[in-house]
Amino acid sequence: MKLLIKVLCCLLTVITAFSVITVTAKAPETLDIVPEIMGVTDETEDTYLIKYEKITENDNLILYADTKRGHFALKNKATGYLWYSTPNDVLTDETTIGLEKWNTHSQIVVEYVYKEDVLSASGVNTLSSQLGVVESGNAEVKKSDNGIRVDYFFQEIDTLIPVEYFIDGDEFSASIKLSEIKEGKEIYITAINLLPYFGAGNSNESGKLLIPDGSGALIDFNNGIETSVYRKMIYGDNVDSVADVDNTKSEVIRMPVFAVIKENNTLMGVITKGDSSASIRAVNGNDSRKYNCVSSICELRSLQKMVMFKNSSNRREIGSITKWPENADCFEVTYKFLDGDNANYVGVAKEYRNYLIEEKGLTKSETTPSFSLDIYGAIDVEATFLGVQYSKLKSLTTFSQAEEILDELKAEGVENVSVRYLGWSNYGLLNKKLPKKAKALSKLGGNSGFKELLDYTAENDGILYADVDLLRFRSGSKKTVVKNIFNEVAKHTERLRSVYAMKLNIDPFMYLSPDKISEVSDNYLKSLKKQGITDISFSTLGSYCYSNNGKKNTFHRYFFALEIEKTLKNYKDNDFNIALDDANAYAAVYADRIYNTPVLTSGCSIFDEEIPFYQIVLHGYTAMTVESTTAAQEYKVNILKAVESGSELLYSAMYEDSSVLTNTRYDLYYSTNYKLWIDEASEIAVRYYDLLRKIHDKEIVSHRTLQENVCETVFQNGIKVIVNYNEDAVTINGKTIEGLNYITEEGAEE
Amino acid sequence: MKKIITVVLTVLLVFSTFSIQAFAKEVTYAPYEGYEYNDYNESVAAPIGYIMDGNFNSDAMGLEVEIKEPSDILFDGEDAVYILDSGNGRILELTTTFRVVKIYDEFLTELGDIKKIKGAQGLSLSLDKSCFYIANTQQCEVLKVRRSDSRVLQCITKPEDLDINTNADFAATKVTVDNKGQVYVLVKSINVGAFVFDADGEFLKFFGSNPIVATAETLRNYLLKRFMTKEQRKGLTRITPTAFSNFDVDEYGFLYTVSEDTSLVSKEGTVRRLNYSGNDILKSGLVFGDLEWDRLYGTVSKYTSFIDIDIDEDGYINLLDKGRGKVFQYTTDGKMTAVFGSYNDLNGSFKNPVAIETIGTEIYVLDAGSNTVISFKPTDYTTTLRSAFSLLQSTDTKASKEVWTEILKMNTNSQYAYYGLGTVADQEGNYTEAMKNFKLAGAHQEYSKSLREYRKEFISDNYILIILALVVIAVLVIILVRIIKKKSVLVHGTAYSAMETKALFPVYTSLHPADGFGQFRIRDVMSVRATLIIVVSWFLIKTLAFFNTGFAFNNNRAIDYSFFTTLFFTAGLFILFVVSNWSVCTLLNGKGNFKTIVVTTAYSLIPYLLCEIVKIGMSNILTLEESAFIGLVGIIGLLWSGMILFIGLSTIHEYSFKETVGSVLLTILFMALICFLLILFYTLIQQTVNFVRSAIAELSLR
Repeated sequence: MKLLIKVLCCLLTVITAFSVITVTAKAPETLDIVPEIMGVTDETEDTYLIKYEKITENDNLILYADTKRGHFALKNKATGYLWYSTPNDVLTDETTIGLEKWNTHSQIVVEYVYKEDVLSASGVNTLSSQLGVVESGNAEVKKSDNGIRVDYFFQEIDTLIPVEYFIDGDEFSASIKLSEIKEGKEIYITAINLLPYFGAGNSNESGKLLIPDGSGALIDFNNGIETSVYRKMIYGDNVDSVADVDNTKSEVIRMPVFAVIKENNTLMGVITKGDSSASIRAVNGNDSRKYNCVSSICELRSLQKMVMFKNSSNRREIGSITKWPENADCFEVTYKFLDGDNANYVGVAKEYRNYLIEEKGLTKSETTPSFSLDIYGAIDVEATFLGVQYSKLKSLTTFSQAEEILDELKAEGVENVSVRYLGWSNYGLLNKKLPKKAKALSKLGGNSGFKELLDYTAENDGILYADVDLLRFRSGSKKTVVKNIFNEVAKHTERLRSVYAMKLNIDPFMYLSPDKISEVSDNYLKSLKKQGITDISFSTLGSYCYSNNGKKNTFHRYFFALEIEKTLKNYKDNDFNIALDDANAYAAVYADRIYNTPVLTSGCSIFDEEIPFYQIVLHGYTAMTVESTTAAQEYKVNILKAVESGSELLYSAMYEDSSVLTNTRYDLYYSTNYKLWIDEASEIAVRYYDLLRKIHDKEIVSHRTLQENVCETVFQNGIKVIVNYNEDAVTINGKTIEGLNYITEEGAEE
Repeated sequence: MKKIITVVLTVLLVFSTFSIQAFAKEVTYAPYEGYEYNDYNESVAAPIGYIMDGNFNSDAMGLEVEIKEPSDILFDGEDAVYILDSGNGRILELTTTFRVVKIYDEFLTELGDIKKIKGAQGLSLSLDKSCFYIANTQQCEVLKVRRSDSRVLQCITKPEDLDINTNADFAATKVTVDNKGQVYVLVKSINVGAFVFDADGEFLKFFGSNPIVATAETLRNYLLKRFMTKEQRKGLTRITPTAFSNFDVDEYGFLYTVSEDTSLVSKEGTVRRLNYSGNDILKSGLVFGDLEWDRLYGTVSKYTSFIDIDIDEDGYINLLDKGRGKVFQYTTDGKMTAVFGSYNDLNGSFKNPVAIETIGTEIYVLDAGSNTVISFKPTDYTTTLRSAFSLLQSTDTKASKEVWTEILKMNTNSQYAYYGLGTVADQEGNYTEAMKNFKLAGAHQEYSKSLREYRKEFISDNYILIILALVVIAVLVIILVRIIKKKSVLVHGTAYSAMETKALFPVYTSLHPADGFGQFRIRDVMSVRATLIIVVSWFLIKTLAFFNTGFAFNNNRAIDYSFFTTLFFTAGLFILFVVSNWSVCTLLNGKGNFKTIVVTTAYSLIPYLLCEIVKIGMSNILTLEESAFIGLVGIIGLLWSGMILFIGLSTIHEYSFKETVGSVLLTILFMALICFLLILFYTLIQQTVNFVRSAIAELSLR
């Protein structure tokens, strides 16, 4: 009943608001003056008027703000372009409908649940700062040295959220002071959307939104696509709430950066604090939304559900809420304003790379461009002795067989191979127990055999990464694993490929509790040193990010990145060469080589274009490979993706006939017998690596789409690569590119 | 002049920025997994079969008024595609690249009346392609419209003198035309088949109703009816055949039909290919759609449910599954060549798919959720697979071998590839290779045929050796029989022969049950060790049979072996029997004590176990046609053991024939009872545990 009244009230207010907001705004006449007050007519209610005044100024920026309501605008002094926290023509908006309309006026939108609703697991409420604070005159704006601090007091839920906005050099930052939030007695805050419409493009503008989904996606302004708002957790979802039937197969956001790209001006945002616990939100212009914008959300708690009394008539869902990130100081996003030649996604990538270099310690790693190879060591198979079952190890590739594969590759002209040996230890690919010792399986040749292979690769200018999965394992103590809020162990169960239901006959993976990561990895480091192994590959450490919501060892994902950084730094300080798999930004800076970098996006219908943003950021600094060609959906496209972004090729290999995998849980590694692909792969590699050797340590300076399915990448030394994804040949500037092929043009040194 | 140049430049500039925007790159990530079903109806990883090629919305088609609730799509076989834009009551004519050519939105009759086709569900073309047939669902009619001037030539309504017992409206949902020009009309609420009209609109007949499938419910209703009054019978829902949901005509004029299905796992009969007399001519027993199901807390959330079918130019069957938003592709033999699609808000997935059409090998899905047409192109894998299937019938073994090897290169899980390579090897006379491949393909019949040929070769190559071996076996058997005979002779002065020692007693009871078991009470000849050995052997022989029965007769996989199942069906069964028998016979004044029952039962098993071993050996040599011999050996073993057990029980309990029969029947009943109680107990415990767990969880949260 209470809810109903609430909804009705909201509707009523919205309707009233609509009737009020039918006035036209005056556009600012010249850019040199203070931004214009919006919506000035005699009838306009005072609440909606925004009166900007100059707050502070430095060499690059001027900050204006409405000292009553907290709205602000920034002027980029280089171009005079003004960026508004609330679109300057918001009062003329007759397109946007529903609660979203309030969001367009707001600086923050808070999501919360009532404490009394938690157990029944009913929905999350949202309240925007315009509706909940400004309307009732509860925004308190204080000036500080270089900006303002706004205390948003949401009267309805008795909650205070302070946010600081300040400029520093050419940067502008917005920071939610998490430690100073005063939460109302009746509610739990679950998330706060910061500056949802900062820099938004309206229905008349042209431009693009940059979303770092997978390799990177662009949304065209006003693409008209009718779809729900894009919202996705950065670094992937938590591991402790898994749907029963889950058919979402998608890429993950690997970099906490987003941008609104307009014709000559671009606004980019980097989440500098709290990125482990954040989402990206994007809205596109269509029939029910006037503005195009991308923003960040600070994810604080989540409402989890559990089904009780499963198979009885009392079946129902109950809910519980996860804990607040204690000791978390703030959630901070730093914005930069790009113009001219830099006002595009390559410019954003460059700025973000600079941020990684200056703040995160990204350096150029000294790697030679190499042909990357995943070698599968051993798997477990079911066997019986006198009718009693047991699982035994079956070798797929022994260390000496691996040498044989490398020899054959060499004979085909492929040198400098970087091998990632998967399933060489710890019950093979199963990764049964939490890894403690770096001990090679005796089935594959034991420690001595592994050492021989190490020597062999070193002699042949290759590298051998011993792969270890420190985060997931299948059996062992349940004390140090991730649990959900109901204290149930979080499990990853393999799914049927047909109908996505869980496979019940396979042991699921459990996840190591984040607070134990450094302890486990430090122990493993000692063991590696004892074995004389210095090249290590972490297949999961760089790509997962999660909380532990269990009763003990509770750990909020807000601190997850810090934990991983600490671990990887320790390895780096001990002179390890680190390889990661599909790494998140905070981990990627420590990697010498990243396997399996994303080359595609999730393909959300809201996206218009795919770009290799991830690769543009890191190319020239870290060696990267594309997805394994043997596992790719379309292997020819996969190879072209490598060429487009100057990445290394990756193949998966096993020595045994691949038919041994059929009818085992490893059937997805089909067709990885090296003989099946070696001829074709070496032919491709010999051609491509001639090019790669010239560009592997050069930054990408330009990337664009020339025509449908044809992309051009320019590297620092002027080498230009044009890739044609069409099946038919195309002609670009008089040069013909065959279907599914590429050409290169040497350019002048820059 | 300057002005003009500026204008031209601006136009150029605008155009160039515009063109860059228009050349957006397509997203290539397929939001679904590739899989094939193996022999055991399990999904196995496979390369993706089809991948999204394009997504055509109203803008891309060049339409001013956006498409609304489209319901059907049709390719004329040459250069035009038609979309029935049901929500706007119009038909769109498009090129094969989906640019609009013509819009049909005004349909006038001879009398000048305007016909509205809003809500129409089905569209078809006449044989000469000069006219549309429109299933105008809401108006309960089928219109024949001339394309050149949109003139309504004919309006087919419900035929008057039908001998079917229904008042349902003629709400035509789908319409199609066969290669004789006959018009088939589907009316959802009338389930006696499709209405067939001739080219002039005269009603001819009903065609191709789905057969009534005998289910438990039909049977129950049939029985109930016997005991019901007329009034009660009226209340009973009538079992009627399910109406099919859509159809298509192939190049030979056969009508394919699909029906929606709502069973857990797909059943046979959802896809039918009907000849002129209405009989299904697809191979019997074919099941289409997903063979696995999603358990969601014991309930099923989705079913495979076909709503459209299209036969492409190579004769492949393409099916649209509305249940899970997938497209399945099969050969006419029912082999799945591709499956793709999912429900999602991603490129290449669906929101509300309503119809499919093929142009060449490309598949087009009409989606009423996003009002778009989504096109899919086959990957290299599917293209190769299709060419391989077409080669399977030919005699060009070399080409066939090449293409199947290519498939294997892309997918080492492919049972089809092993089947194809097996067929090639068999044709080439390389039978060991053929057997190896058929084994990997799970093809038992074909394996058996290759085995027969291999055996022929083997025998003619090694006949001297084989004859020698047979002689040796015969000699061994004779010697064994002699030894037993010799030992059975009573040496003068002793009461018992050499066969009647404790160690050889199991053999003796097999040959002389009445006498042998009779001695249990008077002599100490029961060996507990022998009993144990027999029971353990039973378990081992069962295990051996599981793994080592010849492939032609063996459907087991190592992965499916279960220690506990095997143990239950050997030692468990043994214990169950002796316990039951002991309980029953104690009540019925049987004289045998527990130990005697145990030993008697174990000793009786010997002939059965011996025959089982012989069966395992035979299964590796014989072919499927000779399976009768194996069956015979099995029956001999069972009968022999059964007879010994019967005599044994009657002897040790000192029962008459009648009493023994009675006690055995009661024993079996008692065994069933124990099983039932065990299951009941298990379920109860499980439920209690679940309840307690849930209760604790809830309490801890309060």
